[in-house]
Amino acid sequence: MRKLVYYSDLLTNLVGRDIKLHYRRSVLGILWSQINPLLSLIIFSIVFEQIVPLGVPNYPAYVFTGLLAWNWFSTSLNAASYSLSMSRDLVRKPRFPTEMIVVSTVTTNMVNFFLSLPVLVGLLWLSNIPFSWALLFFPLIVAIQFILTLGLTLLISATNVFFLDIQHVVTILVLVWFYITPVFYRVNKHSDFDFLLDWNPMAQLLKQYRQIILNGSTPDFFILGWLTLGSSLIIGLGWKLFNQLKYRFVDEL
Amino acid sequence: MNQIMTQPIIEISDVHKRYYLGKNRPHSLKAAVFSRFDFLFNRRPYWALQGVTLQILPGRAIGLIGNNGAGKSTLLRLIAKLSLPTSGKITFAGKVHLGSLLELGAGFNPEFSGRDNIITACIVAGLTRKEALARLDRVIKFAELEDFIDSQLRTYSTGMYVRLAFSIEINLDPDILLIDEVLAVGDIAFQKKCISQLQKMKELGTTLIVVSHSMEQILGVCDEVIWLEHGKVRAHGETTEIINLYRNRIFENTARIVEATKSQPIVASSVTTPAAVAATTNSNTRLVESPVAPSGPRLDFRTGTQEIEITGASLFDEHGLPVNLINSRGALILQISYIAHVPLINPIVQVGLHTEDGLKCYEITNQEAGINLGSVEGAGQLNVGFGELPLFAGTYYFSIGVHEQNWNYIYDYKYRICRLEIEGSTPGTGVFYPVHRWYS
Repeated sequence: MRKLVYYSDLLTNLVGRDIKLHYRRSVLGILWSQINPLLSLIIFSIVFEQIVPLGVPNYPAYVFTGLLAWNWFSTSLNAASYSLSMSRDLVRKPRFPTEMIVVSTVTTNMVNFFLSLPVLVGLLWLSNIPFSWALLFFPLIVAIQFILTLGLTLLISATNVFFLDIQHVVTILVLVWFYITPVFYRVNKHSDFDFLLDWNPMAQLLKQYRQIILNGSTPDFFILGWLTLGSSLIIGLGWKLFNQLKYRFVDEL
Repeated sequence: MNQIMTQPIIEISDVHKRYYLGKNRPHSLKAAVFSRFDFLFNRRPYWALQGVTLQILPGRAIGLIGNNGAGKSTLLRLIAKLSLPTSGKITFAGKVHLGSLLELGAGFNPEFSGRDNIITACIVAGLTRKEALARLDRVIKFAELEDFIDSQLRTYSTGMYVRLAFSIEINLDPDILLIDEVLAVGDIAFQKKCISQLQKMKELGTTLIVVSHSMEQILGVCDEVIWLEHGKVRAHGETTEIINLYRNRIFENTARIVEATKSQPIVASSVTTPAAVAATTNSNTRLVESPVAPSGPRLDFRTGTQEIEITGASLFDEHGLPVNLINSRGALILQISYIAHVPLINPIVQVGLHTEDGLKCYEITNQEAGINLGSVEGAGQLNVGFGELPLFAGTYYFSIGVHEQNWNYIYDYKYRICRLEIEGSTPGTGVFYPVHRWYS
């Protein structure tokens, strides 16, 4: 029980510091976290509604839902490569649970994701999309994305300590992943590349987010089940690898 | 209860630690692939610890001493679980709270206030937020930072920063506290306070493990001392006994090397120099290549291994003229001539001035002055210039010694190698004659 309180205190402290540090001494403060997704929203809306219309109904709400979830995922993965070396001091503390550094990176980005949600709500209101009971499933999907992201982040951060190339590879892979995931487009017809969607957990997750937010219908529990299973496997693997390697971090960092 | 108290709190059994020197492990996949993993075979292992077995009893204060590179810090890091032993085992008696002052202030963030940093440091060390808040006042009071605790850490002076860091660690109530060479920080008053706090903690049952180069600190705090040499325990015992042993090592080492040299027959083709013997008897001693000196080693000496020989010392005045007699306000140059029979690196030259009855006026070394001699070979000269020698009139003698770069043993020592007469009127008694005047 004490342990649980401890881990939550630790996480709160680490995440709180991260967020405070980020917006400290800036005039607009927390609003800066909204600028990036808002700018992307405006650009995508102009390009794919006015210049090359994709014909997606409620396109701004559609693209914004995707962008927010995707940003949480991609920022965590990109940060994974340097989060440990940035927190070298913590890694070297005796008894400090090193994995909490990675957990706090993913959590910080999740908090930023939450901070953007009011903008999404405003956008939904402007687009006359009603809120439905299906939104109750939102925490469930968030939880699955958290597990998936944390699992991958653990794998990346642990291996990057030993091979610094990983961070460059990750940057490229995340970029490719962005384009093969329907963040700003929608797939209407079948093609030879369906497997990219079927086996892409982020594509599936975005589909479920949009299902409950935009369509107001319950998510596909079959898919959610598979995602949970797959994410659990990844986090299990990441956790195991991380814990096996973490004693060697101090000698390497 | 007594039964439990006598159980060791830390058991270190046959611990080895290997590091790799020189050629680094490749840090990229490309390097790993292109070097075809030959880094696995090409690296130079360095055994920082080679078979350390120790039992640390609870409530004791243990000092770790030894030369640089003896493995003191490595051992401390292994105990702190900052790194894993290559082989061997370190076990703790049950659940112990380990505190460490290995890197003071690591993890502090300059953007946050002292208060925020205390809370974070406590949480990072394993306390819940509630427990951290309960301890806050005690930490602030000990660090004497009541007035600054809500200022950002970046506005702190180094002294304040160190006081804060130290105060946090001390107030975390660890069962074992690891201290690496940090008692030398902060002002004298705070240092004293820390040392008395450490003694208090020891009385309350905290086990202290202290690495320090200051024998005075070790004498003041520790109950027992472990002397590490080349990654092994050379001696372990009561503090004063081990420190005396350690302080005498230089004479002991010299005598051992000289003995070994004497017992070797000197054959022209394979001259055994003291350095070669030193290299074999003392594995950490720098290996000397081609130990054949032109004249061979000299064995007709009193103290020292004679790898380098002091051949003379003369005194000159400020105009470069030889003197033996100077006024106490006059400048003086001491010129030391030597021959290094084998190439040596960074020997330490020690110059002492003594009175006729053997009272030491001063003793200085080039090392303390921050002057490195680099590699030395063959005949050479070294000068020491004195601005003035404010001494009473009388007879004085210079003594000159040359030591191995880590003070492990003596190369040569010449007692009273040259005489100096100070002339002039110096009414009064004593040695040091400062410039002075009386007035009212």
